[in-house]
Amino acid sequence: MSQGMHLSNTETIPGKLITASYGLVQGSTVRAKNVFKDIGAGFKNMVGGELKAYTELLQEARNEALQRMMMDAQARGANAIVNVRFATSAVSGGAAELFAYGTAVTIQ
Amino acid sequence: MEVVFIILLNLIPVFLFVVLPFFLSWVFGNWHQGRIINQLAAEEMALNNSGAGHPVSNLSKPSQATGIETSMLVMSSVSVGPSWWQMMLGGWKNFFGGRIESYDKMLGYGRRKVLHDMRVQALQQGFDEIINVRVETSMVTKKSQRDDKTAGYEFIAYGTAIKYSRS
Repeated sequence: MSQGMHLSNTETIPGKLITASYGLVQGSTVRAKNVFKDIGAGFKNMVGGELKAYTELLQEARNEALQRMMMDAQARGANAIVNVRFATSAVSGGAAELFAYGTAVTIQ
Repeated sequence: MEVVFIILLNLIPVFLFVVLPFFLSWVFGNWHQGRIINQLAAEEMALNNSGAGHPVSNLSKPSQATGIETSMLVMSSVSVGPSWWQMMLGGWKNFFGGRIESYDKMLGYGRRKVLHDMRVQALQQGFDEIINVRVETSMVTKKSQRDDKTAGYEFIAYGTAIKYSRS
């Protein structure tokens, strides 16, 4: 997933020393499911339980948001991102925004 | 006699498209959800019995003062939804207020599932612990104005996995 980029959701990279900070970096993506998947999930809702189509879609989308965040950090010359947070919001029926943000830093 | 027959004939579509789906939803929903919940409980039990530790915590710092070899961000997520029947019960309860037990089942399952997956991930990949774990819930499908019978909730757990250096 990460090309040499260290990610952490703690304030520091455990065991490493932060030498420079480049501020907040972020990545986001809005994804919609296709109609067929929506209908499929609607039927899956009949019995409830895990909605695999949504699980996969959101995982893919979250990875994309992470990639964009990492590209942002790389462009600033950072080699790690600390305090990573995720946020998800339903933009409209059938679409969701996945958002990842953190602080880009350089570690030794 | 004929009037009764015609009324009954008209009730068939009502039965087929309104009553039957909810009935099936009730029967198969209970069965399916019971099955996956039991399966998760069995997996958790097996893990506990095998003597595996509990490496997942929401402490913000590593619990041991030893050197750290690697650390990385790990996450697990799952989307779950209640059944039509449970949604209908939930709708009823919304009218009177009070605990919505029908939703408890699947939401509780989702949260347990992501934490269990994290623990499995840590044990399989040989991490000593996962710290600063956050669990978030979000609604993935908004119920539109016209009820489209889809409701999904996403649970995501993420944290920093740590491997201590052995020396």
